[in-house]
Amino acid sequence: MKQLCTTEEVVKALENRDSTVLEEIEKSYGKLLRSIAFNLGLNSGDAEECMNDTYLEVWNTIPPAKPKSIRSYVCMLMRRLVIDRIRYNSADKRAGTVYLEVAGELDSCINVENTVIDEICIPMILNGFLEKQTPENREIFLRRYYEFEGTKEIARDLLMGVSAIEKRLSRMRIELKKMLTEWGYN
Amino acid sequence: MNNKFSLTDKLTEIDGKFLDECYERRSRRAIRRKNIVKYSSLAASVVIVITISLVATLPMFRNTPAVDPVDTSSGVVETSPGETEGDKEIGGFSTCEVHHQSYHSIPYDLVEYIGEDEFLKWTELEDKFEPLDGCYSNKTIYNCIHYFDVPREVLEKIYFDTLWHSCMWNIDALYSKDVSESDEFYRHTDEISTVMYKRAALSTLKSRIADNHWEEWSVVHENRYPLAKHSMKYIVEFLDISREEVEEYISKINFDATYDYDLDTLYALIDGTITIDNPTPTAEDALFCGFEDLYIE
Repeated sequence: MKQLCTTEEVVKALENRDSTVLEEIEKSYGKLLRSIAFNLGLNSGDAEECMNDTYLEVWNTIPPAKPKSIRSYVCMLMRRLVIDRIRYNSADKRAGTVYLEVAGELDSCINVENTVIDEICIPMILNGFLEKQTPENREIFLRRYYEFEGTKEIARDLLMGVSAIEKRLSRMRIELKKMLTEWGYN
Repeated sequence: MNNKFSLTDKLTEIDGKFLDECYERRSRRAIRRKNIVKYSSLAASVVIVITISLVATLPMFRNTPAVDPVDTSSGVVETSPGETEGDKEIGGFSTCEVHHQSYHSIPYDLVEYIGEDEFLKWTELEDKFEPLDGCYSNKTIYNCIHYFDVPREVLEKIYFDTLWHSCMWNIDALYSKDVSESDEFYRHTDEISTVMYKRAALSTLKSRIADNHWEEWSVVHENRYPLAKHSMKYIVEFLDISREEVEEYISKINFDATYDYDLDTLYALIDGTITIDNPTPTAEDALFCGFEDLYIE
């Protein structure tokens, strides 16, 4: 993933309302954004629409937003849009299945039935949890739960066994659940 | 699909630095692999030509040793040509017909010490090397440490702290001014492979124990499996494991070659009835496994 222009350059160009920078973003991160949509089983038409919406969001939100990293900013926007698309388009069973499977795994860490969820605190706990992980474990966790990648694909890329990946994910979920419980969420 | 609270959705709001780190790691890995594949394709063409000519003359082409049971996730970068990702999936092979793969492998811990950019520049240097009796590259651990002037203490620390289970470095030969010492040593592929099997079996034994006591182990070991710096004595003592339990793990690990484990010595080390002058983790494992030369046995 070669970064064609830095975050500062992108932000500056957007502040100057230079729309050509959106093409640069597409060149640099288009593949990555598409993979988020495809991992969740969206078809190419929906994926393209989400990508276009992402670029529009970038255009509309910067300024005033000044992201520290344009790459994680566009991924965050894309992820949100893809999840919204799946919720909206719940008839798309294939896309819904992947989301439900991954969300089912992670959401088992928190009991939402009997708990008042302070949604502001949750990202802080998630950041604290990620901070405690090793870089390798962080990568596995984010690829599975942020990018919705399959365990088989993660294992192949990291030259590990699928069961090793699943074991690590399971341990991390237990650890996250413990943290959430300490914060009174379970 | 209902709209109740979802932790998965909330993950969208995490600090972007974690994502950046994740993408950087993948990007670096992709660059390294591209580099390996580049060498692979170059060497593969040489291998094909030589294979064709040899097949025409020899009744049976010499089999190269299978890849050692080395944990590839430990980050050993193969600079040796000839191992593509596809090959890894089917067990792999080494295109250098004369040296053990440890000679043509640069572990990532060493790459980190050198600096990735510098290391990549080195790997891209043209091999001014005439293929000699089956060896097609001078990208070796010997040439790497001499090119970057890596101090012996650094290499020893990497070897004994982290990598001893998964690679074979004859440090005396590697620091000899005469390259032929290393060249000669790494030609003993069968002997080295046998030792690597034994080390992999020991590493597996340690990992199984840690796995079965993961909660206790991971808390103070940053979620990492035992490394070379964690001797069996340390692990058994730390997790307070009975002799029977260790025996059970040993009986369940089937490797082609294993050390002759001495449980009496292990527990004598723990009790303090046996002491060693320089109690390094490898020295402790050497007593438990019954070998003397910490570098190459």
